[in-house]
Amino acid sequence: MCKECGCNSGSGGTRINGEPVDKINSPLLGLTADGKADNHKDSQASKNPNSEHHHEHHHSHSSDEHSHSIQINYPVLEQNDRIAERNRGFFLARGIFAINMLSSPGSGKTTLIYETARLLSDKIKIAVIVGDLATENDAERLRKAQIPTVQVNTGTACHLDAEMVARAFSQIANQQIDLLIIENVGNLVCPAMFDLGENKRIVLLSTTEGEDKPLKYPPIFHSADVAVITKIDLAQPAGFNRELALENLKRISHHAQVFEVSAKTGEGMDKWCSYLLDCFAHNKGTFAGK
Amino acid sequence: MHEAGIIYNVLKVAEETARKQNGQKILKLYLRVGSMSGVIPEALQFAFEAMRTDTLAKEAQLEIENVTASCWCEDCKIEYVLDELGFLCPKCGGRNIKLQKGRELELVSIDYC
Repeated sequence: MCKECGCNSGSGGTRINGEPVDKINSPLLGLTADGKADNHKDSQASKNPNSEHHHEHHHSHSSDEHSHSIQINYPVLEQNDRIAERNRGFFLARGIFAINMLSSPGSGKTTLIYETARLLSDKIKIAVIVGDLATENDAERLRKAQIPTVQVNTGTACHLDAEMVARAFSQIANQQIDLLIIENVGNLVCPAMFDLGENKRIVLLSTTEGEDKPLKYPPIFHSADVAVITKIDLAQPAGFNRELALENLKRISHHAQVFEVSAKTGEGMDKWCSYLLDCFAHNKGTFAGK
Repeated sequence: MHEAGIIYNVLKVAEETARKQNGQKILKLYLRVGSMSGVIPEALQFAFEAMRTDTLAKEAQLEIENVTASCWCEDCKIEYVLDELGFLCPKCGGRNIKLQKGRELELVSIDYC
C-alpha cells in the first residue's frame, strides 16, 4: 500500500520474494528498477485520447461562484485492466495457460495447488504466484515440492492486481511454464474487481464454509469461470448440503463449470486435472493455429 | 478495503481535469457505482472525506449514483432486476442470461470553479 496516501496503487509495502516490489523489473512492464510505472507519476487518464475529446462543458450562473461542469467518464479500474490485457497477451504468446484462484482464507487453495502440481508434474510445467499479506509460508510449502513459486506479500492490500502479477512473473520468466497458477489473497470481496490477465477465474468453496457463500458474495461467484467445491471428504462431518450448494452456485455462477474435489483423499482430482490439461492444450492450439 | 485506492485515483483524475481547465476548486464529484462492482458506497464516502484534504476537492462533495444490477435473458428477451435469489431469469428460470448493468465504477463528471 502507498505510504503517502494509504491507497493500493503505489508500491509501498508490497514485496516479491522478500524484495520491495519497485526494485523488481518485469518484461511485461518494460520497467527500470526505479519504478517508473508508479501510478502516481504515470496517469493513464492524461494519456487517454478520449479524455481530451469527451469533455462537455455546462455553465451555471445560479450560484455566487462561476461554476462549470465537465464530463469525464473515467473508468476507475482502466489502468489495471490495461496491464491485465497485456499480461494475457504475453501469456498467450508464451503458450502459458493462466488461472486466478480465489476463495476465502482457509478454503484450501494452497493444498489444491500443491496436489494439482504433484499430479500433473510429469505432464506439464507448473509455476505458482502466491499472494498473501505476509509470510512466505505458502511459497515455502510449494517450493519444497519443487514447484517454482513466487511469493507476493501485499503488505496490507487485500488483493493482487495486474501490476503485481506482471512484476512477480519476472522472477520465473526464464523458465518454461505451461500452467501458471495465481493464488490470490484469501478474500471474497476485493479480488473480484481485479483482472490479473488470467484465462480462467477459479473460485473455491469448501464444504466447511456453508452452502450459502455464493449468495453472500455474488460479485466474486458471478465472475467465476469455474467453481471448485473443496474438502468433500469433510462434507459429512460438516453437515454440508451438496444439493443446496450446487443450487446456490447455479443461481449465482450459472455459467461456471463445477468440480467437486478432495485434495486430501484425491477424490475428484482426476476430472479437475484433465480439465486443466484440456484448457492448456486448447489455449496453446489457439495460438499455434494462427 | 480497496475503496481508498479507488478514491485516490478518482481524486487524481478529477484534479488533473480541473487544472487543465484552470479550475481553482472542485465543488462536486459524480461517481457511478454498480451494485455488482464490489465496492461499498459508504466506504467510498468515508475514504473520500479522509483523502480530499490537501487537494482541490478539499471542500467538495461526493455524489454517488447507485446502479442497480440487472440481467438480460436471451431467450425471453427481457431485462430484469436481480434479487437475492440470484441471476436466473424469473420468467423461464433459464441460464442464458447476461449481466447487463451493475458493474459500473466510473467518475462521471465534476463541477469546478
